[in-house]
Amino acid sequence: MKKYIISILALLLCVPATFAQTDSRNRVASTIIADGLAQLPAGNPQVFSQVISEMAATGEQGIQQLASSLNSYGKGEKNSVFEYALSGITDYASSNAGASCREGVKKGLAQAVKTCKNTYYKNFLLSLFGRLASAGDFDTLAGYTGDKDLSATALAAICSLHGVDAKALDFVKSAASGSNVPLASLAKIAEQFRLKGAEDLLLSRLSGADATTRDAIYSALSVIGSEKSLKALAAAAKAAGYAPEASHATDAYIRLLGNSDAAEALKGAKALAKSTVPAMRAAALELQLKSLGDKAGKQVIAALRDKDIQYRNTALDYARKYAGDKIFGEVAAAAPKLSAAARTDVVNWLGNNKVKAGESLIVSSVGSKDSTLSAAAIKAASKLGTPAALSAILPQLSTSQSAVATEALRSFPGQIADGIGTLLDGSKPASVLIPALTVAGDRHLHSLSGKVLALASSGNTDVRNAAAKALYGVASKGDYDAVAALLEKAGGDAAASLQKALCNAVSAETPEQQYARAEASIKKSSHPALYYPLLAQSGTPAALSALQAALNNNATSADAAKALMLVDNASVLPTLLSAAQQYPAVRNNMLTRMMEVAGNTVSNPVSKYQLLTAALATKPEGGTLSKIASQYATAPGAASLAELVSLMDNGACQYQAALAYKEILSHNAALNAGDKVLSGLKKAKDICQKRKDSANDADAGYAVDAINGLINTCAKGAGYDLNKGLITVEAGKRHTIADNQENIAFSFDWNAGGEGTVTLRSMPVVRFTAKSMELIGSKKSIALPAACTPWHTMDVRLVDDRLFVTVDGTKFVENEVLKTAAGVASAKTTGAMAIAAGAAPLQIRNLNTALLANTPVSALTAEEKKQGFELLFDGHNLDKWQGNTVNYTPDNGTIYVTANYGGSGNLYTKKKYSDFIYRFEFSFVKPGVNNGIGIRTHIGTDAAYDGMEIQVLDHDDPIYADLHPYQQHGSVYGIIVPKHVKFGKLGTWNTEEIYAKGDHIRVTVNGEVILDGNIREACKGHNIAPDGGKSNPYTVDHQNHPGLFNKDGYVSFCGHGPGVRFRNVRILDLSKHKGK
Amino acid sequence: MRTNRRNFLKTVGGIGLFTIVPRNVLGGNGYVAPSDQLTKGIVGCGGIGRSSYHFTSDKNYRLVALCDVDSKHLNDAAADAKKRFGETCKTYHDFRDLVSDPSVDVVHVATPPHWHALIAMAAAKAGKDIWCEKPMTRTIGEGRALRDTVKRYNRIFRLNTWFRFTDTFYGLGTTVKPLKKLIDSGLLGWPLKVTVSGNTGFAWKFFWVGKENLETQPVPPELDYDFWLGPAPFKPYNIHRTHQTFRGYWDYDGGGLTDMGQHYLDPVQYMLGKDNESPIKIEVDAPQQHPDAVGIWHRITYTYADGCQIVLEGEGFETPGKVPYIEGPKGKVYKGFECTIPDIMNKLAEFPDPEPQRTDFLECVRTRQKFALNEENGHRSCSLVNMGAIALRLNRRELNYDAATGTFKDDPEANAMIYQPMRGSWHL
Repeated sequence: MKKYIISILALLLCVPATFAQTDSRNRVASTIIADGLAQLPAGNPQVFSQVISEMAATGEQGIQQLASSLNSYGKGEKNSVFEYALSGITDYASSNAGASCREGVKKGLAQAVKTCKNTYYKNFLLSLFGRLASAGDFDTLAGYTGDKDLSATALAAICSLHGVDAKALDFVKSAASGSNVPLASLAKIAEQFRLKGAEDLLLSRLSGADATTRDAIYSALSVIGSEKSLKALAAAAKAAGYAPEASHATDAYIRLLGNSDAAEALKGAKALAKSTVPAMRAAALELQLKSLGDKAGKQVIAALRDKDIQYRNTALDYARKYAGDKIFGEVAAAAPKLSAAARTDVVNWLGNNKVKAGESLIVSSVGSKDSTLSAAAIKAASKLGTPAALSAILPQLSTSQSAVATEALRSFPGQIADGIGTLLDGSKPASVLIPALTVAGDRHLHSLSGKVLALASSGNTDVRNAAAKALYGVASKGDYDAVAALLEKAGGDAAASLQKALCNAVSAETPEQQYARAEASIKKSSHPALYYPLLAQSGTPAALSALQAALNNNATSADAAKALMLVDNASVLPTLLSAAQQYPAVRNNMLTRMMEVAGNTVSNPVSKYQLLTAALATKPEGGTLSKIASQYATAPGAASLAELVSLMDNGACQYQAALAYKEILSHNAALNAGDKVLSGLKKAKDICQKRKDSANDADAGYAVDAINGLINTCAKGAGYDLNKGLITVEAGKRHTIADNQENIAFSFDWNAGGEGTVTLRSMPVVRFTAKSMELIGSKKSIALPAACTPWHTMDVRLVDDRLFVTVDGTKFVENEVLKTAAGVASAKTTGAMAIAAGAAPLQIRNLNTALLANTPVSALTAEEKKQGFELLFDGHNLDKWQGNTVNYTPDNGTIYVTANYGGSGNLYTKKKYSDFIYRFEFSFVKPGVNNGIGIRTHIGTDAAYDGMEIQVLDHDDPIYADLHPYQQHGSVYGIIVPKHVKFGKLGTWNTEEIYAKGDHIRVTVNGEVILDGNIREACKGHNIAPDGGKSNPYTVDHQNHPGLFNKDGYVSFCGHGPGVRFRNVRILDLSKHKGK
Repeated sequence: MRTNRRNFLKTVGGIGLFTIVPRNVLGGNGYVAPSDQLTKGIVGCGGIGRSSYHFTSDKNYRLVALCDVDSKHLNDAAADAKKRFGETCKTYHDFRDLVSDPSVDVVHVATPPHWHALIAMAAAKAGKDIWCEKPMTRTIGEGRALRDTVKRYNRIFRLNTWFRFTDTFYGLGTTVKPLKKLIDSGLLGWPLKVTVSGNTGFAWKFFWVGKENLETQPVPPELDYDFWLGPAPFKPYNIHRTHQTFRGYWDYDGGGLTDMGQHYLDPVQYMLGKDNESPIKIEVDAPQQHPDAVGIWHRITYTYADGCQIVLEGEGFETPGKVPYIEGPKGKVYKGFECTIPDIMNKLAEFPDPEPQRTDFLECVRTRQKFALNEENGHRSCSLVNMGAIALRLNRRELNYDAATGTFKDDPEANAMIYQPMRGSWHL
């Protein structure tokens, strides 16, 4: 593999259409379009700009090719890729980056509209053309307005043009007589372009027009109209009684008045103001106030005498907008003479605008007998936030406005502690004390804690309760003992409040400090349960075990259960679960809390699955059941799917189960395989379909769409069998999962503490004990995590010679070569798969198995056998290879190059070869793959210079635009240039043969000889520059190749990037056999 | 009788009456005076129009009229209203007839979004107050026109998303109020970055997407498809374009982003105090969008002039690990109000609450005070989703918005998407 300097910049440069016959890679337009289509829709903005810019550069020619590829619409034809291409090119051409392509694309689109036969696509292409159109395209668009199928699209496009006023006017005038363009559409154009010249025409067509047309004409006149229109609209509005009607004459009149000069507007508004419709009076008032500007005071005050609340508030709204700040003072001064209702409006208005000049009016209105006014004034005072406002609000706490005043003080922007403090005096009546305590608590007025503590011993029960509640906000850690002392004496509501206060007072302390406080208080107390919430808040292990003990004690279990709900860390999960199991009365609460805590703290999907399965086993009620079903979506796996299939039979949770089932498969494509999974999908679809039909539920509708997609992509063949249930394996016995099986995936749970062995291909492979598990024959072992539920979960996958095992969601072994107990790679390719119990019976649960297909095997042909070829890879293993056997893995009969497992370096044959014929097949599965065949090379060196590298490269990928010919696929890298190979689509298999005898190298791809040459002749014998310098004039890449003439060495795969497969790799050693 | 009540309400006004005659004198406990009663008509009875947000009727707020262009939806809704509320509602095919019905005080707009502006504007011109579903409008231009019309006639307008003032805010496990209080307190510092993502507790309706290669189907007899399309371009009928799944097509909506985005973005706009300000930059990372069917996206980032950012992350494209919902220079908040500032709730309680919001719609109608989420701030937050939609639809990586001119800088195509021309005679 060699590195290239790739110039993507060159690709982004848009070549003008006339020069676009071929691009920098010598591709003609049709090739560029075909290459581009293969990559659409672009998966991200980078690909979009790269691919689309190339396509856009083909201009007219490319557009026409794309447009002619569109099949008829609506008959199930797959046209979307062309739609993506055409609209994407238009998007690009409309952007700054694509400006140079715009004309070419536009020309292509114009031509395509003409030739396209299908109405839908004619419109589609015309709308794209319209998006690129400029003033010069007016006539083209206007030409389509007479076509009834295209008229709407053409008119919409015309409305988006700029700088076409004169043409538009001509068009409106000529189309108004004798064309079939509706007058309403022409009026729209006149409005859009503000065509004053169309006024007479539109006015003349009013009489006899239907309401829709009149609406459009009125609307246009409201924008373009002169005095003539004003007269006409005034008459029409008057005829409509200044009321709303279908053609909106009054609306147009108002809008036109808004555009007229002040005197005209004022005159019209006066007439309009006589309307009985509040909305119209409002609009008239705006016109008046706008015309009057800062002289509107009198008019505003007059409006405030109106009976209609809408009118009064309209006056205030527009006064603020048009009359300047001094209007606030004018109105505030006039307010005392207004009705209470109008004063309320004014007070609201002053408060909303936080007008300090309104303070005296607001403050004096706070105590009004009119309760509406008083409430408005309290709210406004709070917004002002001044000391006088505070003084006015405080006395209201004990009046009928108490609730309003309390709310106002919660949001009062300023210091209120001193003010509230004056009210917290034991001699005041309860009616003052209680709301004051509420505010003190809500605002956490810590400075008042002494006063509140004193009131917590008040003789008045209500005051006592209110003070206890307020302590939550005001008590700090210094008050702990005082609050605890109160708690010991209190009962009922006050006790609950004081418990909260106690917890909150110390909430900033460490968990250990909090626990220590709780423990000390419990020791002293005759009511230890009072301190359970504090234990719960501390959440320490000691606190949890204390609560667990209390749960098991009849006398305290109810309090302990309540407290458990307050613990906020993952360590409470087992306790919640056991409480749910033991105490049916609190089961649903415990499970709900368990899922809440797990949702915030447990990210391992297997732990989620275990918790949910344990929750289900407690047989919860419907509501909890549907929450559990939903949660399974976050615990993907075969066992979860199996559980969900059975939950889909339960009416209480079937919809949630169906959605969760869909979710798991949407995000885990590998699980979407096999008949059982498919039948689950069909069940889920039926449930969602029913939900969609019966509840008009959009989510259910989209779920049906998604499930249909999953059904279509569900892989045929081996999928999990979706089992649930318990199997007991007797001591010393085994449960056979499959016989004579080669590849398999399975998962199961076993009882924590159980011991046993997993047997694969009839060999013991994984042994687990109560505390750990080991890979037999290796030193690998792992301690089992503490079980959150009494079950562990193992997931096993064996494909070819590679083993993958996870336990409780943690990777144990990955991509490990399967070995015998003696630690050597296993030669066995099939055998029994089983789980065996140790010395005690073993419980296993939810065993799910996917019997994967056997590995496809390659073999030598009879002729190759006769010639003496050796098969280096038959599909099963890499036994004949050394080096990076981590990233090169056997996969489904191929050597797959992946980047998943953290290996590095190249893959080498175990033997060395000098002269040979090397045959193999390869397939690119990702675009731009780069690999190579090193020959006569050595471990750890660069084959291109130590030996040779016969290039393997997806060389037509756009990222290799600047590739040198000596870097192409099949080149002797840097030495001999091959013929260019054209590869098929990604995934196509190619055959290759490398013949190497002495200096003679021949490369044959897909039966065609692409390189046949002599390395010594190619560099005239100078693999190293004669002058000893770095630049070698004799090699095509001007590099030195010191190892070019190596006599022998390994054959290697030299690549790092993932995405290529090799198979059927074989070699004939010509030094031992007579070759061609 | 009804007409008398109408005139009574309009000329005397609600408040005046309360102070003159307490309602219990008129009719005993629970009696609602005719002038105290408001009425509503619903336009769009198929989806959300039948939900508990709209399809209710009681003595304070009576359902009296229904409108739909699908006669099955209309008849079902009318039968349901009769059965559940004992109301014989007037039924309309054409919304213009409903908005001009004098027995209707408030028009509920519950159609697909491509109709919101036209219907709400017609209602405003007819002097009705308006309760409009989210998203407020399908384009920014429609939003401006609707906002201006509502103001011109001084109507009360409620946009129907509510998270800025009530309800647990999606996966956050808290209402917006304490978050707003936290931001206002300054404890997190400034500027802030808000991330709306699966990892911060949100679940986008991310797969509300459209289908490509639709087959043409016969229009069902109960549906007036041409009227259903209205201002939208004509495209051959397929059931997936219409009821429930219309959300997946740019002509009518814009998938989870536009259909649900205002639910998530409006509260953020409120929290950040951006009710009077739009972002200056919108960046999008997404796969290529189809011209008709809405697809998915990876990430949309809004940046304000002061450096505040709102980041939307698509489902499956979340930043891995624990991501804060709000991040400032001095602190971070995660879902469930988990905060890096210790003992935050106690610290916060010492600050004043955010200014109370007006959240009783009927009270707003009676007292003519603006509803908490109205034509101004609703248009502002709806513009956020519509800006994202423009960038997506044009496959732009970045748009720069200039508030002074109300246009995107240096991008005529994006500006052409602000006002999208309507079909036929429909116009703003």
